[in-house]
Amino acid sequence: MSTGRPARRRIYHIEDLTKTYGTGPAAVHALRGVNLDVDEGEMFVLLGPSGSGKSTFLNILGGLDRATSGHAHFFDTNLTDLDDDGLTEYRRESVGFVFQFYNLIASLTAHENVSLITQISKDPMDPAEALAMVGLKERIKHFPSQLSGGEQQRVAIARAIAKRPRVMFCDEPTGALDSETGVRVLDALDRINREIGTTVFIITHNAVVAEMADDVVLFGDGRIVGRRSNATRKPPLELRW
Amino acid sequence: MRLSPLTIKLLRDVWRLRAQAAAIALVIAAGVGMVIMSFGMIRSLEATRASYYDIYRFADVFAPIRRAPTSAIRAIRQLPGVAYAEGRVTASAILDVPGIAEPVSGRLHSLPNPKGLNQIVLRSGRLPGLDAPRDVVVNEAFATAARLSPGDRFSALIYGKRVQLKLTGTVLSPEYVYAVAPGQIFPDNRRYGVIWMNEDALAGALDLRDSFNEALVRLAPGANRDEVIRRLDILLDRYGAVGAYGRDLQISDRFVSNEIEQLATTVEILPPIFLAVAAFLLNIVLARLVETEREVIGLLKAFGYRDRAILLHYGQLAALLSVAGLILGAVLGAWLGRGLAGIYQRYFVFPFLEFRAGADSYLISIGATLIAVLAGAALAVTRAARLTPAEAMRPPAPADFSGRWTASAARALVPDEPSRMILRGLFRRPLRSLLAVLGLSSALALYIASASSTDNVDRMIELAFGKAEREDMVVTFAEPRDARALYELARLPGVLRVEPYRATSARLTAGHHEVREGLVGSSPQSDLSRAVNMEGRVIEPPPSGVVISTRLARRLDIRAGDPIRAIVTEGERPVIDLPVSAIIDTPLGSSARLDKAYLNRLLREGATLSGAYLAVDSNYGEAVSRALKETPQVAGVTSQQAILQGVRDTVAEQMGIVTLFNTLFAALIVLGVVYNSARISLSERARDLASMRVLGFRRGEVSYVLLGELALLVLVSIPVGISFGLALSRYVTAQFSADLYSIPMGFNSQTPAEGVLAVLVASAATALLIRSKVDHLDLVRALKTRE
Repeated sequence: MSTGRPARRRIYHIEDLTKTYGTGPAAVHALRGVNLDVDEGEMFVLLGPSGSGKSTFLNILGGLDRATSGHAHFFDTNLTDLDDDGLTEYRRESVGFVFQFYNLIASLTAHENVSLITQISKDPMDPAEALAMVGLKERIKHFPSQLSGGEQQRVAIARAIAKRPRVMFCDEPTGALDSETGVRVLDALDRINREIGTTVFIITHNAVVAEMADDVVLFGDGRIVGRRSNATRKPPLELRW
Repeated sequence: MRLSPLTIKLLRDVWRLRAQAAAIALVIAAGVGMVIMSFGMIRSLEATRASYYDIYRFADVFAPIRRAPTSAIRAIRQLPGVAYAEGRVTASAILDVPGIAEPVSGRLHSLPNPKGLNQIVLRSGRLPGLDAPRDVVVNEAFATAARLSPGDRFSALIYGKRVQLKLTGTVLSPEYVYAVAPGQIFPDNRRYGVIWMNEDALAGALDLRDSFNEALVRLAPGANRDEVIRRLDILLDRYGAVGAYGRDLQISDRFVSNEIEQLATTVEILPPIFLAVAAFLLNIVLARLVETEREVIGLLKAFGYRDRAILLHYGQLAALLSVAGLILGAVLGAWLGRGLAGIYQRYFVFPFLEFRAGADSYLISIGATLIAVLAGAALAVTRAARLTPAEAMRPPAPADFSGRWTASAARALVPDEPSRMILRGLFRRPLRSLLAVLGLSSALALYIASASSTDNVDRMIELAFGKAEREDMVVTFAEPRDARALYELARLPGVLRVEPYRATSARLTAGHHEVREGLVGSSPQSDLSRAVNMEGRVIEPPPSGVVISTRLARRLDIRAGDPIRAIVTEGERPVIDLPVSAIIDTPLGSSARLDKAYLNRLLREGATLSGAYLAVDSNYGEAVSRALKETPQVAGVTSQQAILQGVRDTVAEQMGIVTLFNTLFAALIVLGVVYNSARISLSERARDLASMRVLGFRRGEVSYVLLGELALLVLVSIPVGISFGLALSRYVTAQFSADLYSIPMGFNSQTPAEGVLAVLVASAATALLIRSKVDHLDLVRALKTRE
């Protein structure tokens, strides 16, 4: 697939990012100095064992947590300078989230779950269009309780993309799904990345998922211990685990 | 000793839930405290009255007669059912007290024998000396109001003879717990005094040596009182008996019973409702609290804990969360009950106080609370324990909101998703929403019902003094006089209007019911004293027939149109048959009213009057009083102003105290309920809210979803609570079957408004507290945890 990519803008520039929980001998060093540059429109997979720091990293990039030291630039904005309200606006305007357990609002239909977000966005898609992109056009009036796990996760993806975010963070998006369903969810993410150019970060334990990424970052003990680029991205529908 | 893991979890849970536990404790303390305080107070007053009567040997039966020789007592003592009897001398008098412009009505009694009935309690000074005919003691309330102290002198006009008296002390008497002049409803202690003096001196003044004019009887245990009264009447008939009567018809006891009964109605109807509401709310709160532990319950089951152990664990949690409230409620209730009873003890002038809340009020209130709390917890645990452990280990299926009504109603009602979240949350569990509304509105209703008793008393005062008794003074003659007396009164400078009345004491009978009640005849078209119903409408006495109050009709068990028989107990003592032309619901005042001319005809007399109602120019009040003192035959003057003040000082004040506590407790319940509802909503919605925050919703937008639900529940509760409150107030008012006066329903829009304000303030305070919790939602956890 596309290897000779056109020059893209740098979406994240991360320098010496550290995160320490607690102080003194009980301190936990979740991140011990992470450096990373990410170009816009890339599909990133973060791999690593539990406690390796990948979730902490993603939380800081997603504006959910603050670094102890270092910098995380989103275009020209230094996320580490933002206060709570600033981070809220950052998440509201630029970031889409997909959670391991979907986190849909049970009292809203698929369509409403998506329009919950489009109502507070500046230039959103039509919720129906976003749901069509994840293949759920026929299920828009269903409540989460009437959808399968995979369908719920695709609603969550539609919800994340409907505001046309610059970046999407997906923390173990297939963690609660069987492989067949998981593949369909990954396919949806792949299409979003290709069709609207959203930068996508996927955290996973599952090494197979790495094959669909442009770049794969390996975390270990609070540091990036390896990074590789795939020459070709494997279509998600061909993944098996 | 090592604590089991479940015990450690239990203790940690209690600590974690401490804020909610505090709110729960408030609700429990309010419910339990109300019951113990109220029942404790009433029982203490009843116990105090009972021992006061017992210790000071208050007579069971009173038999007034014209005159009997002392030897007649022996015959009375031999009647079956009589344990002890004695005779005494008693008379009414007109007192001339230095410093009081108008004549003072007095009641004179011979001093009781040292071991006889109706003992008195010396409060200051000393008892009259044995050979000191002028020494007297008076009731303490009169001495205080008339500013008399031992050593002071005043004079009394006893049957035309002026006697100089010297005050040696002040006393209390079980017979005058409530000292009210005949024909009055409320005490005017400055213008009515009770005097005890040596029997020889009093008998001498009345020409009753070796005789008595009232027999006092103490019944043997198990004696049939009515039978004793019947035999007494037969025995004493030849001595001019006007009819013996039991203690319950004795004027002071009747007032005390009436007051305690009234107080009991105020304090005994509401507290059980308080407790029920508190228990009901706790049931909801505990059930919801345990529901939030659903996942833990599943896990415990997965680890192999049996349902019973889990049930026990949460039962212990519920009990522990309630313990503080139970203790606080019991201690606070007993303490406040004792304090309140102390206040009423002084008000009723009991010489001591016996506090008694009764083990049953503790057992019932604590038991009811525990049952409610444990049932709430058990229900939720049983529901959660029905899950297989496997279900609990998997991420749960999202709650089902697909019910057609739930889904479409919210869509139709509101355009935006956050509002739909609120509505669907409420619609999906209509029962729970309903219960929350019910709980909140009950708390508001309690507040309104409690606080409105003050409005009702205000309305009673307005009806009684603004519409019914509009005179400034009531003049009573020593003996009925002819119409000329009216002109004498009208001629006094400063008297603006005079209206005559004819009053006579009588025994009213219908079937086997008998009531001692005066007949009052007033002129039609009266402007000063009028019969007024609860709506404030004036009811004119019919040209023939009698208008009686609902209270009296109830006691005689009669309806309009029925005949009653009046056995007049003074003068010629005629027996009159009267048709009851109307029964009216009147706040207070004479219970049997006739046209004065009609009553005069029935008594076979001319236009005789017993006294008159006076309207007086306010600048001449003092002068009119002085002139009345000089007027022969004036036995007493009462001032409406003083009586109104008396009502305000007594009824209004005593209701005020109870009302204050009720209202305070109601406010506590409101606070406890609102806080717990919101806290539980927060824990139920925490994940949704945190997800919304992660997705970029601002704090205010997220708070809207949480607090919107609370606001909606509160908004719906307000009209429901107001309706409940007014209905409850009406019910409590209707339960006042007090014998001497009734309390009308007085609506003052300020009371519900204050209740609503209390709810809104409690809600706003809670909202602020909860809002700060929203600010601290753990966003990272929302990403990782399942529901």
